[in-house]
Amino acid sequence: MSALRLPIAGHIASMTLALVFLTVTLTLYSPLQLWVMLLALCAVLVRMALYAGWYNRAPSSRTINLLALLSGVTLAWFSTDLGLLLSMINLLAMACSLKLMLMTRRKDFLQLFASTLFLIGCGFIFSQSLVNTVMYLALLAVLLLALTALFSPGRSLTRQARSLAVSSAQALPIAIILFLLLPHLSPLWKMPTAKSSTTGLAESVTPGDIANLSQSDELVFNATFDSPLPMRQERYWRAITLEHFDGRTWSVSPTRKQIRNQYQLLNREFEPAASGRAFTYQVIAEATGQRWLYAIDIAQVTDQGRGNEIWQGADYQLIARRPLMSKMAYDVKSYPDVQLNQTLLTLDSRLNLQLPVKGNPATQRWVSQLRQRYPGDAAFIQQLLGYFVQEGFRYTLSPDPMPLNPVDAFLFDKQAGFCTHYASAMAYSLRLAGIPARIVTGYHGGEPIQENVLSVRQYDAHAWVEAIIDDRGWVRFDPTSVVSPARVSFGLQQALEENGDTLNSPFDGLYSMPLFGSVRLFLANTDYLWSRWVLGFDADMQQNLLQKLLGELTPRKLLLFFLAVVGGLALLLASYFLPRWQPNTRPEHYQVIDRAEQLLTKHTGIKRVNQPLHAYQQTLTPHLSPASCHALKTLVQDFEHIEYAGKAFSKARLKAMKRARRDLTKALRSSS
Amino acid sequence: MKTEFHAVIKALSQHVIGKTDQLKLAVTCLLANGHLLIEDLPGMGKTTLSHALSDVFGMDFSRIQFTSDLLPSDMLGVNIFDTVQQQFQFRPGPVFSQLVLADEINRASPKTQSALLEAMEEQQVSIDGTTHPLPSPFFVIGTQNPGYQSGTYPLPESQLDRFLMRISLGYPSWEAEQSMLRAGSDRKTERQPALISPETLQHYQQAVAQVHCSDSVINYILRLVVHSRDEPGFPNPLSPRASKAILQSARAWALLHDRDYLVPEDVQAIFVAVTEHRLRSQQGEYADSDVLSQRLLDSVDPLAA
Repeated sequence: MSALRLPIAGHIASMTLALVFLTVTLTLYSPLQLWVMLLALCAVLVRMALYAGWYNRAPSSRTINLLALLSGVTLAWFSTDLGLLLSMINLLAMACSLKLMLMTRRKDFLQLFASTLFLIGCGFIFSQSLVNTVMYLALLAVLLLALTALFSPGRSLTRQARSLAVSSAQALPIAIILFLLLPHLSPLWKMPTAKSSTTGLAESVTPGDIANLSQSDELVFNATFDSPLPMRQERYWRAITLEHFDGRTWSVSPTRKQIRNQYQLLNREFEPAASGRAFTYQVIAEATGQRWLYAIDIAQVTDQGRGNEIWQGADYQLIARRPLMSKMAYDVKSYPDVQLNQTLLTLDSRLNLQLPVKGNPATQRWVSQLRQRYPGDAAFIQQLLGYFVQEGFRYTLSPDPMPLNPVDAFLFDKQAGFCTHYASAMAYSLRLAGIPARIVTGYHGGEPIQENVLSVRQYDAHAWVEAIIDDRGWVRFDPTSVVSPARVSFGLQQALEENGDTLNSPFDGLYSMPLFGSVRLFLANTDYLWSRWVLGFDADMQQNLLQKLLGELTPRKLLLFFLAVVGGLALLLASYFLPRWQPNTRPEHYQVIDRAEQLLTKHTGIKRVNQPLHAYQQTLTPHLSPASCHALKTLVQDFEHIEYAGKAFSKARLKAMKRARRDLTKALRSSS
Repeated sequence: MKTEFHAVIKALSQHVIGKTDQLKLAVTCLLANGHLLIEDLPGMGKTTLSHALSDVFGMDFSRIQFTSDLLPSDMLGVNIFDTVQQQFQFRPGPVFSQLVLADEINRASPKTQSALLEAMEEQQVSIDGTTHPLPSPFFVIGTQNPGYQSGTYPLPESQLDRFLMRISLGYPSWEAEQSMLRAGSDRKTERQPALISPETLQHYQQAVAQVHCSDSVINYILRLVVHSRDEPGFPNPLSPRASKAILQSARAWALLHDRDYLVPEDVQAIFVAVTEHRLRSQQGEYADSDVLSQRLLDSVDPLAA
């Protein structure tokens, strides 16, 4: 019998491990390839067959090697498409599946256990939401139960669960202290950028695009205000400024991109001056895979730590240096009353008078007629907006497609559309009239989930127009608000209800039920708190916390504090794991021999492996100087006399022994 | 080493060349008043050793060649009706000798084997209700061919441990065999004068019991024995009889080396000879080269407090 070999049939620990592994694999459905998941499923089926006793022999390692070779080749084939990170995760899951089929020893089990822990860690790369965290914690608990089942298979489940609970409770304070107090160093290893799809707003907008976003209630960001919430009419969260129009699609102007790249090369940045009324808030943005950030105009990033990571564009846009692969929190101060006239307006004008080469002839004619009648900019804009009202334009999420000359079709034929249709038509018309204009996409509104917290979701996506009016600079016009004031004042839901239009969701009825509403609000709130306080706990928050604890922070104080924390924890763990100090109960002559043995082992590098002293002495003789040999011989003889000869214990012998030990020490020292 | 024993070993070495360790163990076995089992292939000097031992200690010697048709009475002796005296007369068998060489003991039928082993244990023979004491000192050297040879009845474990020690002579070294060949005819017909008389031998046997054994050595023996019982990998754990045998042999070894107290080295010196045949399962595992008793020695620290 060998304790290292696992039983096969009916071994609960292995089966539990296999099931946890399968579940973790299933939760990683987006990064994992289908065939890897199938492999994992097969492995678990093999385990199941072994568990039930249909087979009593794990697959031979030759079979597994062949399978490993095939899988390796397949993975190598796909790896160029997957990128490094995803390939590695696939490789890990694949290797685990193969190991699971081959698991026969305790060592295999422990390896697989550790790898599954790592897979769970990988799960957090893709989502750190509260729901995911709770799910992974549950899986972790089951995984740990499998471990306890391995080491104490005889115990009942309740006892195992209890001991697990006790150890977890012991570990929890340590985890919390580590989380709160250990310095947040920047990672040594950065996650390679995943080739995952981006979400949210796109860098180019064709009228109709944002309508798709409106079907999604995915969270975009939470904003926590220090000041009271801004009015609904002021909640225009700028994300992307679009300055190039090709007759159908608005996109980021190539010139603007060039300018931005030059600025970044020179490490310069647009710094708008601002003062007056301001909102101070923190935004926790969800991962989008893109670099756009959200803020109300004119925004200035206030936290110093983020200064390097966020860049202010000359179009009043906040841009992250790296795509948002995970949540990102940043502090912003917004000055809503300041005019947007601090950029080079001549350049802006030139960029924003660009027109498509051809197309939309009806609009061109109509605008030139209108412009002749109303040469003043203000009057012209007034008329333009008035047109939407007079003609009875409708606001709808499901407009008819307008494939040819979309602006013409929208303005004169369909006369119904979504915010992008209005913004596009208006900005185009303004440009035709010689007024520089552009489209801004972003979000409008947001739902207060707490007194001072706004939660903005994808269905809040919006597009509006900016035009240069004299020296006031860029002025915001929202044609949608003219057509459907409710959209701006009360949100999308309201606007659609007024028009008899609805979001195409089977759960629409639910939104009106008070219970569902409050549950949804509660969940949103919890998720917010989780991101705000747990995921958002960064170096700054830590510094604030420490400041509260320690008063003024000096580097010296911080260093001492961190050392104290680490040292304290190390001491705590050491007191738990190190063997307790015990008084040496060995007789004195044994202690002398032990000491001599330590010296000899250190000096010669030869350990006494369960040998009696004479044998050890003989082993050592060739490695020792004659003086050391003599001292050792005397020592051994004295010891034998005391321990074995059955004479009355004599102090003199012990003294002689100690003397011999000292001689030995001296002889060893002089010989080395 | 005590001078007498030094001479003894020297004398024995002239017959069995280059096997000092085995010779010392054989003498130790004699001193400990135990029986010796020699396991070897034919022609390795088993018989020579027995002859030499009987010569050196001046013991009368008889040899029983075990065969499958040997009956217990052939060995122990029979009551024969004396027609002159009109009564049964006991005719003692070859076992009535101070040193008995039971050659190829595993060739005999189990019945005969057990009769011999019983005599070894009791040091007396009962025939037809009469008990006949065996001479003293009484010493049996059993020889046995390795179990995989054909036509053998392997001794059961319960009888193997009647032998205090089992040794194996093995092939001689190049030089030893060379000098043996040079010396020519080896089996000398005339008996050498005894170096130690049987009476002196008995005296020494009693002295063995006087060798002091400290608690730490007793504990060492116990740790060894208990280790064989607790740890996996030992098919036949050591019995209390085995631990007694270890102590007795170690004492004899210490006496042989002219010491009146035991050290762990004594235990180690005799340990393999005393325990290997007790530890090992007899069911055809001779091919297993792992020496179980050595493994036991390697895993127990003699200095543990």
